[in-house]
Amino acid sequence: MPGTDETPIAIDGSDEQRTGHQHVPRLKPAGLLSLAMANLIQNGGSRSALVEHVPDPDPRPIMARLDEVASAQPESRSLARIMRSIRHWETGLLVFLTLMIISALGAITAAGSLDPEGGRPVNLFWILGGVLGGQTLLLLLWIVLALFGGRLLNRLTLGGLLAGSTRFVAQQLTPRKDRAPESRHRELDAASAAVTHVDFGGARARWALGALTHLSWTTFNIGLLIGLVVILSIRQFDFGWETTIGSPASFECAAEVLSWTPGRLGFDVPTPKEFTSARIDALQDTRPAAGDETRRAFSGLLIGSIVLYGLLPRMLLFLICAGLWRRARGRWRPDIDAPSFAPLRSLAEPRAVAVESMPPIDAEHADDEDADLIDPERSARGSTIVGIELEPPACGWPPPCDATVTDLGVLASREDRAAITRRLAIAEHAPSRLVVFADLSTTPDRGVARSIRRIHDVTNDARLRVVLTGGERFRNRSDARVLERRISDWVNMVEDLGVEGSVTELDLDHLTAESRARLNELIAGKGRPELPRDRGLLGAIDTAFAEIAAHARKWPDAPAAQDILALHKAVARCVEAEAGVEIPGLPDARSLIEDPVRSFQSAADRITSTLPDRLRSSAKWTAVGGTLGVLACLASAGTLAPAALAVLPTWLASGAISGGVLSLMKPRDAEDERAAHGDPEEVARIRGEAVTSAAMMAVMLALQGRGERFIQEAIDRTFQGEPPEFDSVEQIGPCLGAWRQEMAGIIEERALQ
Amino acid sequence: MNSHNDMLQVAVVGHTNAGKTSLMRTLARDQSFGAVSPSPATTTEVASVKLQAGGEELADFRDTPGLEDPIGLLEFIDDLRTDRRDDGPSLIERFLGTPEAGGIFAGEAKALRQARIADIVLYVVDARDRVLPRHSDELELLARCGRPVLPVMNFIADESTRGEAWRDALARLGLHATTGFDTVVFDAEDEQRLFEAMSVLVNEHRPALTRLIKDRIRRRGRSIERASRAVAELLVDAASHVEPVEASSSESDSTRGAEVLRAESTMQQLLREHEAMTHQAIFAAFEFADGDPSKLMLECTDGRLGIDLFSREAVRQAGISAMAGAAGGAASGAAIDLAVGGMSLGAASLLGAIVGGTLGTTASQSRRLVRKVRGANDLHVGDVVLQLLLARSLDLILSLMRRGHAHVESVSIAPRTLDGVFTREILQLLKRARSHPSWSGVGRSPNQGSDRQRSVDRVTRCVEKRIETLARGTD
Repeated sequence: MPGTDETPIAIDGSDEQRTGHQHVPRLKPAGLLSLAMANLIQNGGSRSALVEHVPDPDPRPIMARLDEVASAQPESRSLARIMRSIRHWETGLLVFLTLMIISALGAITAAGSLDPEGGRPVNLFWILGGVLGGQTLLLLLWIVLALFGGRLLNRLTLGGLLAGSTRFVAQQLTPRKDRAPESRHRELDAASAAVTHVDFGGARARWALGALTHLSWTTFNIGLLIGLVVILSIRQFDFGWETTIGSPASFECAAEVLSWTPGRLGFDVPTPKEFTSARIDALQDTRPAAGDETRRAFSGLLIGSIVLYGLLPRMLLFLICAGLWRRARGRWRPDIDAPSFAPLRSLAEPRAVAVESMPPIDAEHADDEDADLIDPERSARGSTIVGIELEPPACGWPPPCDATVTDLGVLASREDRAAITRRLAIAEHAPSRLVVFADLSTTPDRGVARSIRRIHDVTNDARLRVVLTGGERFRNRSDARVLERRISDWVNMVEDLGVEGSVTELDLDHLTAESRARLNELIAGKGRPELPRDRGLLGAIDTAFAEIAAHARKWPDAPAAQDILALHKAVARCVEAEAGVEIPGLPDARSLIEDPVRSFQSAADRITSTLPDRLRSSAKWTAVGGTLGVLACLASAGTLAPAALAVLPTWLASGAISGGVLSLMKPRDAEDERAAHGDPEEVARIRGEAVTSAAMMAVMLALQGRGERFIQEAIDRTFQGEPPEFDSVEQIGPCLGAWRQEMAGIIEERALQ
Repeated sequence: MNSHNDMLQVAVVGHTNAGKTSLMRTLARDQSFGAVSPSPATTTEVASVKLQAGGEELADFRDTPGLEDPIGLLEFIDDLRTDRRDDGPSLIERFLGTPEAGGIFAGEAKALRQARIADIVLYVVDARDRVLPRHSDELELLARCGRPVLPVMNFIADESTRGEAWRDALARLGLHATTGFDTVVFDAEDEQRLFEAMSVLVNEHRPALTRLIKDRIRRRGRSIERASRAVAELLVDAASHVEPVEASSSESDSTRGAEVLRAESTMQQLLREHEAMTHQAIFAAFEFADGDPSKLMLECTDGRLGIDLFSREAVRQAGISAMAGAAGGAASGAAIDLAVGGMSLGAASLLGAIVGGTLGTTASQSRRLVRKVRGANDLHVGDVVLQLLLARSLDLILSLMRRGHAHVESVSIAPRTLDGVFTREILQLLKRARSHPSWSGVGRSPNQGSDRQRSVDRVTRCVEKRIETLARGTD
C-alpha cells in the first residue's frame, strides 16, 4: 500500500514540497473511510491501475492524491484487510457452502425424479419437464428482466444482504476469542459498506445477481447430472413415453428435435424406430422388450438434454454475467462529489504551494544616516506636535490644547519630512516633548519608525508621546483583537526606537471632557493623568443601578419596549448628570431621523464591537449588546424617540443583528403578548436582558473616555457567565449588587495603579 | 531563479498590510497560505502559488514582503543616480546590487526583484486607506521596474472604502486599468475582471488567463453543486430518519414518557452530529476545510456551528419564535412529530409505503410494522427542524460564497427567516423520504438504492435553485 504517515504529500512531481500540509489528518466518519477504502481495494492498493482508468484528465491528480490520503489513514490497513477478507475468502466460503447445498439439491432432485412407480418405465418427457421445465421458465423470465427490467434489477439491494450475511458467517466461523471486538465493529461496518458499494451498488447489482443466479443453476445442474449418472450407472430403468390426447406423431417429432443436437455432439440418442416402439401402452402392456441399446440411447438423450438445455446455457450466461460484473466493477469510480468524500477531497485537491527559499532577512539595524549637525547644548523646553500620515481629525488640526505648542504639521511625504527636520534643527530651543499623532489604521512599519526617529534625532532627546487616534474608524473595519495587536505593535515600535516614550490611544474624532483633559496633560506634560474623578464614577454607577432596581420593581410581567426604553433614558440621565459623558460613535439625532434603519444597525454594531471577545462570542451577550446599542441610541436622541420607534419594524425586517433585539423590540401583537406573559421563562429572559443591557449601558457611559481597553476589561470582569434570567423581581437587586461590587473593585485597582 | 519561463509570472506587491498574502490566499483558495496579521512585515519571504486549471499550471503568483519604507528607499535609489541617462530599470538593478538590498531594504529588494522578473505586477492597496504620498512613491518604484502594473484595490466591499478616491488618484498617475478585488468579501465576478484586466496588460498570456477564468467558473459551479448535494443528503437523511422508542411492557405513562424523552435526545444528538458533518462537507465544497476541524473557522462548540440546532436561540434567530410559542414553547418539543400508535401519520404513510413498496425496503418496513403492532412508537424529525437544517445550511453556503480565503474571522450563521425556505417541490420530496426509513444515513450508512439517489438528486437541484435565487437577491 503506498504512503505511510511519514510520507509527505508530493505536489506535482517536482521537488518542491507543500509546506504546512505534511500532516495528513485523521478522517473520522466511517462512511467516508469506507468509500475511500473502497477506492483502495478497487486497485488492490496499486494506484496506477486507477489512474489509467480515468478517462477525464481532470480528476486524475485528485484520484491519485485521494488514494494517498486514504492510504495514509491509520485505519486503512486494517480496513483494507477486513475488506479483502470479506471480498475473498469469506465471500468465497459462503458461496462455496451455498453451492454445495444447491448441488446436493440437484442430486436429490435426480434421485427423486428417477423413482419409477411400481416397475413402470420412466416417462422421459415427465422427467425432462420436471428437471428442465422450471429452470427454463425462470431463465426466460431472467432474460426478459435483463433486457427490459434493468432498472428493477439494479434496484435490488442484494448487496446489503450479501455483505451482511458474509459478515455474519465470518463472525460465526471465527473462534469466539478471535472475533472482532466491539471497537472494531465500526470498521467492520465501514468495510462491508465499502464492499457492498463497490461490488453490488448501482448497475453492478444486475450483473452480480445474474452471475449468482446462473452460478447456482449451473451447480444445480451439475449436481443433477452427477446424481443421474450415478443412479443410471448402478440401476436399470426402462424409458418410455405416453400420451392421452396428444398425437403420437408430434411426440415423435419433438423427440427428433430434442435429440438432434445431442446426437450431433456424440450422445447416444434413440432412433425414431426405437422411440416409436418405446411408447408405453399400459392397458395392453405390450411394452417392447427394451434392449440395453435402447436404454443407453434414452439415457443418452436424457443426460444430453440436461447438459445442453440446462447446464450449458446457464454456464454461458454465468460467464457472460460474471464478465460484465467484473467489467462494471472495474469501471466503478468513487464519486468524488459525494458529501462523504468532502474532507478527503479537500485534502487531495491540487493546490500548489511552493516556498522559494531565500536567505533569511537580516535583523534591522538602526539606520544612522547623516546625523544632523544640531547644537547639543540647546536648551530643551516646550512641546512639539506632529502628525504622521494623519487624516484631519474631527476636532481639527492642531488638536485643542491649553498650553502653547509648536505645531510641525502633518508629515506624509519625503518633502514634509525634510522640511520638518530642518525646521526642528534650526529652532532656537529643542522641544522637551515630542507628541506624535498617528492614525490607528497606520501600520507602525519601518517607514513610520524611520520618520519618527528622524524627527526625534533632531530634538535633544525629547520625551516621545505617541497618540493614536481614529479608534472608532479602525474598530469599524476590524475587531478588538486586531486593535489590541495594533496598539502593541506601536508600543513595540516605540520601544525599539530606544527612546523614552509612551503610546496612548485617544480618539480625536470623539473628544469628551475626560479625553480632552487627558490630551492636555499629554501635550503639556503634567505627568500621568490623575484619576480623582473615578470615585465620582462609582457614584454615577450607584445612582444608575438604583434607578434600574426602581424601574424593574414595577415589572411584574415582561416589560414592554417602551418600559425598557424609559429605563435606558433614565440611566443615561443619571450617568450624564454625574459624569457628563455620552457614548461616542453612536449615531446622532439627525442621522436617526434621516435613516433610522441604518442608525440602529450602526448603533448595535458599535456597542457589540465594544464588547470583550468572550461576550461577543456568546449569542446572548451579543443580543444584549445590540439591544443596548439601539436603546442607547434612542435614549440619547431624546424627544425624537417616537418617530424612530415608528420605523422599528422596518429595521427589524431588514435584519436585526440578533434574535434578542428582535424579540425585545418587536411591537408585539396581543397574542404574542399573552404568550410572552404566560411563559415564565420568556418573562425571565426579557427581564434579564432589559436589566443587563441597562446596567451595561450605565457602566459603559460611566467609563467613557478611559480607553477602550479599560472599558472592555471592566465589562469582561463585571459581567460574568451568561446574561442572567430573572424569574422574580427579587433576584434583580442582589445581581445588581454583585455587579456594583465588582465595579468598585476594578475602579479601586485602577486608582492604585 | 526559475525555469518556468513560459508560465505567466505575477508579482504581488504593495505596502505592508495592504493584503498581499490575503490576495494570494483568496486566489489560491488556500486558507493556510502564508501568514496574515495586522502587524507590519508579516511576510518576509517570497512564496509562490501556481494557479492551475485541469491539473495544468498556468500562472505563477509570487507573494512578496511589503514595501515598508518607500520614502527611504526612493531617496536611497535617487542617490544612486550617477548619470542623467540612468533609467528606472538600471537604477533598480544597481540598487539590487548594493549591500543595503540585503540589509535594511531586504524586504523591498525581494519585492522589487520579483517585480523585475515578473510579466505583470499586481499592486495591492488597502482601499480603506487614504491616498498618501508614500503610495505614489511606491508606484514610482514599481514604474522603475519597467513592468506593467495593475493596481488591485483590496477591501472595496468595506463600508469605509475609498474606491473612488483611489481610482481618481491612480488615474492621475497614469494607471487607468484598475481593479477592485476584496480578499475578504469574495466576489467571483471581481476575480474574473481581475484576470481579464491582467490579460489586457499581458496579451501573450491571454489564453492561459482565459482558461483560468473558465476553470474558475466551472469550479464554482461544482462547489455549489457539491454543497447542495451535501444539504440534500442531510435533508433526505433527516426526513427519513426514524428513531424507535423502546417498546416497554410497562404501561405507566411516566416510564413511557421517559423512554420517549430518551429517544428524543438520542435523535437530537445524532442530528447534531449529522449537521456538523454536512457543514464540514459544505466547507470542503468551497475549498475551505483542510480536513482539520480547527481550521474550519467555525464558531465551534464541540464541532457544532455556533448556536445549537435545538436551542431556543436557533429557532428564535430564524424568526419563528411565534411559531414555537404556539407549539408550546421549546423548539425541541415542537420539533418532533410524535407518531403515537395506531393510525397516526407515521402508520398511515407506512401502510402506503408497503402497498407501493419495493423489494428493497420491504424488510425494514415489515420490521417497523411489527414494532407498531407491538405498540412501540417512532420519532420522526419534524418539519420545523428540517426547515431549520436547510435554512442554516443555506445561510452557511451563502456566506461561504461571499467569503474570501483571507478571511480570518469565524463564520457564524444566523438565518434570517424560515419563510419560503421550503419550496413545494422540496416539501413533496421530503414527504416521500419520510416513508423510507432505510434511506436515512443518520448515525449509519444509508441504503444506497437508486430510488434514494434519485430523490437526493432532485432535492439537490431544488437546493441549487434556491441558492441561485438567494445569491441573486443578496448581490
